[in-house]
Amino acid sequence: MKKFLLKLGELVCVVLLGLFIAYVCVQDNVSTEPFEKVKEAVVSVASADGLTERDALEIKKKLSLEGDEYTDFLCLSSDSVMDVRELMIFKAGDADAVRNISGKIEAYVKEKTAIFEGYAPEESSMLSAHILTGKKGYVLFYVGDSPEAVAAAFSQSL
Amino acid sequence: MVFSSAAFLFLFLPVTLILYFIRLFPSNQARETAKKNFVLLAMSLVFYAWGEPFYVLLMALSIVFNYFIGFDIEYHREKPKKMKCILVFGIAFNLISLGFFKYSGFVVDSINSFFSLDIQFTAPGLPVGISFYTFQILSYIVDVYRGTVAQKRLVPFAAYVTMFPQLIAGPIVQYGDIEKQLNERYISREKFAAGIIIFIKGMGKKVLFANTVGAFYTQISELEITSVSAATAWIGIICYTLQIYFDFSGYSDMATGLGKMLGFDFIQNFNFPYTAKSITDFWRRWHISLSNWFRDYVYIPLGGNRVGAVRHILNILVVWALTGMWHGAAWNFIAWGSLYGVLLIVEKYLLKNILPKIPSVFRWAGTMVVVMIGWVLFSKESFSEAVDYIKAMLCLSGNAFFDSSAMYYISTAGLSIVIMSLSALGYFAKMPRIKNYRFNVITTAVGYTLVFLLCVIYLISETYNPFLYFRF
Amino acid sequence: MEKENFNDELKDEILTDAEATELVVPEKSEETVAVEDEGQSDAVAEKIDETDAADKEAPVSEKKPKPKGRVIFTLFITFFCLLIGFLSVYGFVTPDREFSENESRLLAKMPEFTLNGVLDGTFMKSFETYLTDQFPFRDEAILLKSIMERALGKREENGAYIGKDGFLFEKQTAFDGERMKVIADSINRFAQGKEALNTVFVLVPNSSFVYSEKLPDYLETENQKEQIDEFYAMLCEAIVKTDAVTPLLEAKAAHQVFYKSDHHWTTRGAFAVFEKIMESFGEEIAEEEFEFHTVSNDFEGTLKSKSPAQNTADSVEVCFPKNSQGTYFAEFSGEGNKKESLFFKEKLREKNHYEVFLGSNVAKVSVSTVLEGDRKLLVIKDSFANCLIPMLTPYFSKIVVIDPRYMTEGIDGIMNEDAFTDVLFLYNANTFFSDSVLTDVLGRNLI
Repeated sequence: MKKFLLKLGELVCVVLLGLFIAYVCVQDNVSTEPFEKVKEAVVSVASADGLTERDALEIKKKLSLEGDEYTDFLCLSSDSVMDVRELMIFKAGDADAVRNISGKIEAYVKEKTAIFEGYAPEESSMLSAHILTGKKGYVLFYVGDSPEAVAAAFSQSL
Repeated sequence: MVFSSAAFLFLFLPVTLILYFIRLFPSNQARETAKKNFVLLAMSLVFYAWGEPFYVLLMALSIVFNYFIGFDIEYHREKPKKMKCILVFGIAFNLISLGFFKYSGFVVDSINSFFSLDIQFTAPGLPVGISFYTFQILSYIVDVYRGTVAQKRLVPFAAYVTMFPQLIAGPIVQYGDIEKQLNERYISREKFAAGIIIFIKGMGKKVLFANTVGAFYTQISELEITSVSAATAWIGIICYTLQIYFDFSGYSDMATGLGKMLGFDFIQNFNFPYTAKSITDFWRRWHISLSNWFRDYVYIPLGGNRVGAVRHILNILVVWALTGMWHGAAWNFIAWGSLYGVLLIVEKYLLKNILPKIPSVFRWAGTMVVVMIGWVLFSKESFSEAVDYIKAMLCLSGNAFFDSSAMYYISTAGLSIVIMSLSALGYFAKMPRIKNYRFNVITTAVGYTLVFLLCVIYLISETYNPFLYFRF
Repeated sequence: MEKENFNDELKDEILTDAEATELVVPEKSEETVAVEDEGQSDAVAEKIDETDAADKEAPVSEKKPKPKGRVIFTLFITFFCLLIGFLSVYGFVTPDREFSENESRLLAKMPEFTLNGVLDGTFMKSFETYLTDQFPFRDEAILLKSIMERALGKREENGAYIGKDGFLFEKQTAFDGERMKVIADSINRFAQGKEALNTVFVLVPNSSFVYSEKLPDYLETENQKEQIDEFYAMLCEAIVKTDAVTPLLEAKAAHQVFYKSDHHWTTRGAFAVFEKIMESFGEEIAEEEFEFHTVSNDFEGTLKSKSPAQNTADSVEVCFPKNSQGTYFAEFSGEGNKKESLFFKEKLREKNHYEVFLGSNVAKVSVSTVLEGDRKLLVIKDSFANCLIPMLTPYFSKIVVIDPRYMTEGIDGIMNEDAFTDVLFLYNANTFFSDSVLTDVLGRNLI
């Protein structure tokens, strides 16, 4: 009897390991959710009032990101230089594209933070609390209030 | 969680020690030890989950599975063939788990570049400490198979695998070494005090030494490699050599100290490796627990040195390639390990008679040069970067031998490097002491308290606090 | 039952071999010797050491030597526990700080405890940052570390170089020729469209070049004069390029031209270059027409924050034309009212005394003077020009000062407001070489 239980226990563990591995493999598969849905979910939680929508030319200038490096995007930022709030959502495609975009956004944030460091503590604090995540073919970049809520909304919508 | 952090020192550790030492069963020693094991297990799981909230489940799964395997092997003791099958099954499970979570990305990348494919695969994040706890679990089931150990209760076994002092960064503890202590241990105040002292020593090595010299190495490594003078390159690699030693041995000391505070004695993991006078000697002093593990569980089962020369050489190469691979999922680590394998073979077979005739100073210098070049390979992300660096060291990349920048580093880092080198070579340990016992105890206590305060000061103001061996 | 030989535990640390063999603890009973718990005495009861009690009762004999120094171990352990306990409790009990003056940033707050945050580990990371930021005695700790590292020879701290005679230096920004070309082109385009304007461009070298002899030994830095000249060569003929290097190098013999603890130039340094600037505008200035007043003797600037252990402080002087009381009023963007002075005396009571000049960095300052005439000046600048603006007031009827980094509107709007006759670009090399907004403000290049 004991031997049977042992075998059963071992089998369950093997199955669980398999599930673990399978979960890790699929968790980053490209999401099938439509871009609109993700956009809505994020924008509803983000503090995006007063921000203007930007076009692809702006993206190219800010991040040196060409139009063919992503399939869909949303970029909101303020007209005032002192307002650091910003929201960017990219639908990228595969893991490489996600990495590429994330890298460029990281460099952009670093530069921006350097400008405000030492001069404007509120702004640089908000900048350093930014969210930058790449998941399931999407990239989210957000500077603003309650970044955790926005990140959660983003993850859940995927 | 990292030992050298405020959260660990001022929150986790006090809470754990209080829970550990509160006496629930004053008259029953066995129950008291069981309670200690339970507290250790619970707090270790919290410790691990703090850094890996998801992968703590993987570790728990491994523990439960291998616990079953242990029993299974024991039940089939009469049937050696079946027993072996079960052992293989258990080893396979552990290796697959380790292999997937640590090496899958590396394997896919290598296949892609070798066969010019483009398989899309996002490698899983490496669960911290997986190399360490997997090796410990493997040592357990193999020892059960060999009949040298057995543990019927889950809690002590789980406590062995998860115990937070050595979970993240070693030393790798073989179950046999600790079995007795799991079942009964005594913690005298001397042992606890010794634990504190060794812990502070380790923390000082990591926070005061490794981080400082590591910052200089980072500065130098960010310079344009073609314009770096040979002297600067050497200073850089000396900094890295010191950094990785104090980082890793510091962490091992912290683990040993914490272990002692909890009543466990771990084996020494480092024994002044930079005093070694040959590669063979070096590896008897560096990461001793890892070499021991490979010796006991790979080298000896493969036949060790009781076979013909050809097989012996093959054994060594296999063991060292694996050692390299254990350190990281990249080709330069495998190359680093294999390089040492080759050198060991050379020492054993070709230089066996020549070496003793060379004056020990030259043997030491030669060993150190080899070790440092090895670290270049270890530290760089790619072969070409490592080769570029070595070229700069040897003045082969068209650079100057010495320049003003090298002088700048000597004047700003020099004193630190000298102090740390003396320490690494053991001069401070071997200093003659005043022969008054009470005086020694007082100065030790005061001295280490100051070191501790200094570490805390550095920790609060430090933004640069990496641990190099954390890829495991 | 274990034979406790505490020498094994600590032999390497404190005992000589001779001592180690002398002291052998006799076999004890199986009691685990209790250890005193952490210093939170109200939460945990203290345990009594049973063996010690037993020892006291047993008769003292030759065969049972009492281990020496036992008490000291106990004291050491107690002290260590109390130390940790004290810091934990103290940190827990004292209220969180919001802002660090020394580091000029907001300190982390207690993170929100969310299930998501725990599951993906972000809560733990934020919590650790919070603990480090709010640790008791943080400022003192940073100061001590700074002192220690300097004693060991370290000369670079948080991006500042520690020089001689109390001088601190900002790291030099690299000169990127391509990037500079883009900026030069946009300035050229700006100047060419407006032939009637006198455009003067001034690029000021930094302290690390002017006071290079005070840099830490052996440190190699770029030659900013060469870099400035290289940039000047990219500007078109129409723009008058002013040499700021020579006046500064000449003036430093008589006065300190850069602050030791801050990256800005002193008012004396600004004055030396001011003469050259006005030459470019076709005016001769007479030194006697200006007065200097010291308004502070304990200015500790931005560089001192990066290296708190450097023992250094500066005096701040203001310079303005004589008899200039009430000769102008200034409007600052962001503040509705008009001020009669360009100096903000209240800033002298705060940490950054340099802000006495024009207050904190604002986008636009509009100065109207009583001077008749239609010379109107547009100044496009970074913070270096702040102490120099008051010196310009006798020469222009209107001065509009803009800092492109903080501007919300493009320059065309400003150009249309007034009929400017002169434009002055005034930047320091480090800020200018890393500029990323000027091109936009001047009007995007329309390729």
